[in-house]
Amino acid sequence: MLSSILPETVYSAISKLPFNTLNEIRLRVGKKIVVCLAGKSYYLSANGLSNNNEGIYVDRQMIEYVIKQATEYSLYALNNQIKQGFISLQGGIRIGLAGEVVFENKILKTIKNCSSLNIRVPHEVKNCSLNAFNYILKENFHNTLILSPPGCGKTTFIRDLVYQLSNHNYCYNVLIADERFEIASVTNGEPQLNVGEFTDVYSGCTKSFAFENGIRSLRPDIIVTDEIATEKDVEAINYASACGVGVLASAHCENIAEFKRKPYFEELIKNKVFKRIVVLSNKKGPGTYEGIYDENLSFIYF
Amino acid sequence: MIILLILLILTFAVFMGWIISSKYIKRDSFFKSLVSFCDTSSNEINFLHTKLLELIDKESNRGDFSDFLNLFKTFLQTSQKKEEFKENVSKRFSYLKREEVESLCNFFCSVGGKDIESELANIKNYKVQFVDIQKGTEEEKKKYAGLYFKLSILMGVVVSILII
Repeated sequence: MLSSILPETVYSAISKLPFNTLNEIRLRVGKKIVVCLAGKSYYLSANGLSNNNEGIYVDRQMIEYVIKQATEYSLYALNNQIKQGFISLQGGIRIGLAGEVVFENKILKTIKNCSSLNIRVPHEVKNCSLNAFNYILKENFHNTLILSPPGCGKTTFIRDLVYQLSNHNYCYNVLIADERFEIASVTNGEPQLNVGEFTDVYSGCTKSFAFENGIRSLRPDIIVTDEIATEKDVEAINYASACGVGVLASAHCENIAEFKRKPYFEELIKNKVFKRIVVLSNKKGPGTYEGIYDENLSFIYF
Repeated sequence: MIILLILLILTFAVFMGWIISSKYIKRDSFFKSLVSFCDTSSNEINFLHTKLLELIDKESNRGDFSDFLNLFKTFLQTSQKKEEFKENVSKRFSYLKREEVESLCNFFCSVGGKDIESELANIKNYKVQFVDIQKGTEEEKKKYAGLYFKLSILMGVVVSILII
């Protein structure tokens, strides 16, 4: 997929890098291309990685080329994603956009004149959730929240956990509310990443829509979602929990202390909605376990 | 010998008549396809968010218009310049007038870079132009396609009579 969206010079340089560790390619107008390999950033040169002096510079044409290729010359088809600041592509690749945000009558129309792109390349890390698996599935599925700062493997963890459920023959009906196409990365109706055998996916919709409609029409045993952050997200989780549906979710938090301080999460803590909280970090690479906590926020695994 | 010559002249006359009248028929059919493409693409973009290349692929059996769409596809995929695209269109579709090529290329170069509402409004605006042109081509076809065909046959017959 990268070959079809990147200019030839950039792709030939990228192809010299170890693809398994490639996390991000950052393009900023007038700056050198930065690649993130296994959590560390480097400049990209024609020969691969470079020191500070050399590198491939990004111009406006390059940014426009990538957007045109990524949208297949059809911005309108992906404008709902663009309005949220990203474009999702085949293979689970996601392009984050920064540029001028256009409003008309207080309604967000689009993002134009993009000046930065962040191309995120997902990797399936098989069995990365296994250490936590037995804590999350003790007799029954425990509602679980994954916490970490951005880029520490929350989505990878969630995806693997969903896969492990079917791999371990737990016939739970799983519904993924994939608001940003990150978990299953559905393209043309087909999940691009392995999310197991018993999984249904709602892509590109809000969590509240997926939770309410999914529970009514798909009868899930577990609902999975990424990056809860707003009051509405918390409401959707409370609704699912009250309906007796298990919840697996993630949120941006560095640690339990920060989690306690976050607005909207008080109610979740008070009601003990999440029976397990897994904290991840980037200390020894993405997906490093910092600890698993129970509903009282007490350590149960480190 | 004379009979052979007359046959040759008549065949030539029919051929010339066919060439002249086919120009009018092709123009009309091209613009009919274009107007229909505007309708289809409006619906597809509005309801299904169908991408441009898919739209082009769906119009693969519309004769000359499909050839035009293939030229446009090449223009997109090879990052050709707009002027080059116009030149290729003018060369390939010699029956299109200069200003028709201009608005055709302007329309296609403007498709795909906007949000849905703007895209639909853009298609609607251009469709009004194209419908006007198509009405003209339909009239031209009715008036001249048959007329020139008959005239050239008549010419052939007259020349044949003169030879005899």
